[in-house]
Amino acid sequence: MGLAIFLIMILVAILAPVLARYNPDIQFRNGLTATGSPLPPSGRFWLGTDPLGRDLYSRLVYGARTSMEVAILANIISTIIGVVIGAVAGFFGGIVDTLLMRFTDVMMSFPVLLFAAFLSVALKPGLKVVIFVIGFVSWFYLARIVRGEILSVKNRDYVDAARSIGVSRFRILIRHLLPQVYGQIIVYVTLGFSTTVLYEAILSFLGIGVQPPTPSWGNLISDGDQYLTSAPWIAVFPGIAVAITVLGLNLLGDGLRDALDPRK
Amino acid sequence: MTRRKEEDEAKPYTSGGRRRVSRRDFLKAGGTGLAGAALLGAAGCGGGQGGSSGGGGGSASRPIQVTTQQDIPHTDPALAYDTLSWPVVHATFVTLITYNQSAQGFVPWAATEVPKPENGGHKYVFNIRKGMKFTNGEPVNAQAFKYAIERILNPKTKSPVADFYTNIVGGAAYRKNPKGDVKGIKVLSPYKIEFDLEKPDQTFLQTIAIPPASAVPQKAVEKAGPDFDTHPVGSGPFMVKQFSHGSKLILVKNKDYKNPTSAPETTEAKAGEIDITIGLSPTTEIQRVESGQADYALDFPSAQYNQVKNNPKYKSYIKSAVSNTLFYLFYNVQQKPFTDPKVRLAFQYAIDKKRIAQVLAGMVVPTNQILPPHMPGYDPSIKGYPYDPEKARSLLKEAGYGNGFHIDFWDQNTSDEPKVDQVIQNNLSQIGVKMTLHSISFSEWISKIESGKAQAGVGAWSQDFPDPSDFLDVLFNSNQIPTNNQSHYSNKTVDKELAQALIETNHKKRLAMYQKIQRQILADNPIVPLYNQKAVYFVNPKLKGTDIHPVFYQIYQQWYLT
Repeated sequence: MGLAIFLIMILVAILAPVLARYNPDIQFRNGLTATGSPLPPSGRFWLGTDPLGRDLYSRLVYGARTSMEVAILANIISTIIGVVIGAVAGFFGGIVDTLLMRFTDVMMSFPVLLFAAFLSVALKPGLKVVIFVIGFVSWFYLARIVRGEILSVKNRDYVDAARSIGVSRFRILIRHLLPQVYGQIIVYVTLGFSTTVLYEAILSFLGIGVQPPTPSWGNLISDGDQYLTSAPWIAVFPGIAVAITVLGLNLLGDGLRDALDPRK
Repeated sequence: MTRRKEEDEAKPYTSGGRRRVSRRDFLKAGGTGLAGAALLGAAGCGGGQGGSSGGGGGSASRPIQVTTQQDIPHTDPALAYDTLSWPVVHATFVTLITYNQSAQGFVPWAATEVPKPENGGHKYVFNIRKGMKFTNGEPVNAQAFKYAIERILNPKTKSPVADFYTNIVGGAAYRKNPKGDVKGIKVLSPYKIEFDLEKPDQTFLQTIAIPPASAVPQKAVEKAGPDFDTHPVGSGPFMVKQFSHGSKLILVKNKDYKNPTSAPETTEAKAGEIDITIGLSPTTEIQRVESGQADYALDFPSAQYNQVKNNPKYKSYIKSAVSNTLFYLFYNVQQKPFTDPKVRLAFQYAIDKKRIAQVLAGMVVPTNQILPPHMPGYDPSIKGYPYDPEKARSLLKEAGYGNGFHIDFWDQNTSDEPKVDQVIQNNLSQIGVKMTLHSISFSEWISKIESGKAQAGVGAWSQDFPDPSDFLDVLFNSNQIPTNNQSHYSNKTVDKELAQALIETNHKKRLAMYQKIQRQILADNPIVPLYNQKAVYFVNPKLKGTDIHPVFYQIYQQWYLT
């Protein structure tokens, strides 16, 4: 079920130009009432229009693309950082482990979203910045998981055996230990995905994520935030989109975790 | 002046010429924007006002409730230079003269009459009424006014309006080195004060009528130090009972203040108490007025306006008047591609001002000139350019930019600004101009403008007082580059004519001079005038006396509940 949702979202994102009815940036002359109010859903504009007279459905579809792009890239960044830090800490142990894990603890104790917001503002909001920032605040949990797994496997017999015949530590790490952890990595990457989608929505909602006029679910919600009582469709539809995606990813992640549970 | 809708400190000064911060306010939407709709009142919203005199005292049964999103920056006259602070100062302090209801003329307040300029415009003498006192007992006399102006000029005060008074003899020197006193302010007798000016200046009386020029009690000021700004001691119709930044400001009627004239402009407080609640989102403000919990919302962005405008129940709640503000698109005319007059002309045809007005729910009025409609000197004969993207494209082609070009555009990221920016971005993309929008906070925007490096953007100006120099001189004099003259427009002829118009004593001739100057500036196309903002407020119809004043917007002492 979760997988289905996830795949649908990816498809929407990829096929945005095909699925959208109009260019998301067009401010239609007749996209607003004479007095400037957005239009409700109709045959012309399936999900209504936004405060600038743009087709909300098209923006939602393109927004999927932006939100997915940010979520995937940010996730790649955070996965790399998390795996590297966790693996190095777990494998080398000792002071390296202590330093890295204390560092991770410190980072985890920051209020993540505030920190992300602060970084975004400091580095000037924009697409590249938001990808980097989200990636930078999403690796902590994964690092600990990876470290834990590495620790639990590194003292196994076959590792000692490999060392005794002279296999380099690096090769042991890459070829023998990490593969044990892949399963866990996949689970947490998927779960992390839902978090990054949410973070992107929040940062863009605050105006420090993706910048206008590029649509993303977060800034669509922000556009509609002031119109909740007069034109609720503007915020509600992207909100539903975010909710479904996050739900789907969580289901997928849970499902994967169950499937890969070594105890089964 | 700055529409105080940003948490911002008083701006520093540049030397030479009066430097004022551009008014950058606009609607602030909830978390993201600024409300701003409340704007500047335009003259004349006045219509028969008088009613508020006498009768007064209506049943000041319960406190009047006002709401605002932004904090009120100052209650100290010397520091107040924004649209939230001025009404408070105007309610709690007294000036020598003040504006009449339409702001087209003056009425005496602490002075017994409005003086005529003497000595070719170099001298003004005010006779002051006896008997007015500050709430701590100090008298409101000539010395109190002299002290007030000297305090503004004193660099330690860091007053944002000091440059208004450097034309007083000795003022400029005192500004740099506050030793002794300002020779041009003479206390002829305890209740008679004379001002001597270096050059005749038709705006001098304006600078004496604005709230910063209020008399202040020297002993109380020196005793309180910086606390004076939260615990002011004044002599006006109201007193500040409590002021907690970011939270609440409470005004209570000053029982010792009596109307010295019979004019409604100088009335006692008609209500017993006014509570201003600070820090609410505009959505909350509107809800509170709808539910009766509040009487006057100072913020009314287009999103909220959209919500209530079609509801017949709230028709009587909406107060509006065109205000003396100008929003305009600027571009640096000293750098390519804007050095080319064809490119500047193309931009005049490229922007769909009607669409902007539509997107802003009709809360703004498109304009084709610099002076706002209620400003003396406004020229109804100026037609401007129609929206014609075809023509714009062909002009660009003629100029050699058939493939378009790219510009960096800077604007404030408050509520309605991003909308306007996106309409502009859309318009420009239709003519092949790609615009990178930098939507930043007010203070960042000010820094960018001050650096002189902003290639293009949207600027806004709201009048300090109803005089054409306040727009033409401030925005287009070359000595105002880049802070107020963001287009870097520099025309020596215009500079000279501006200086001449400032000192011209014949009123009719002076207005004609400003009209000529405006035409000359417009012919050079240094900006694209976009619109004048309407001052729109959401007000409980039971609250009376709330006509929007062109300078003060809210005159708290005239309000009363029925």
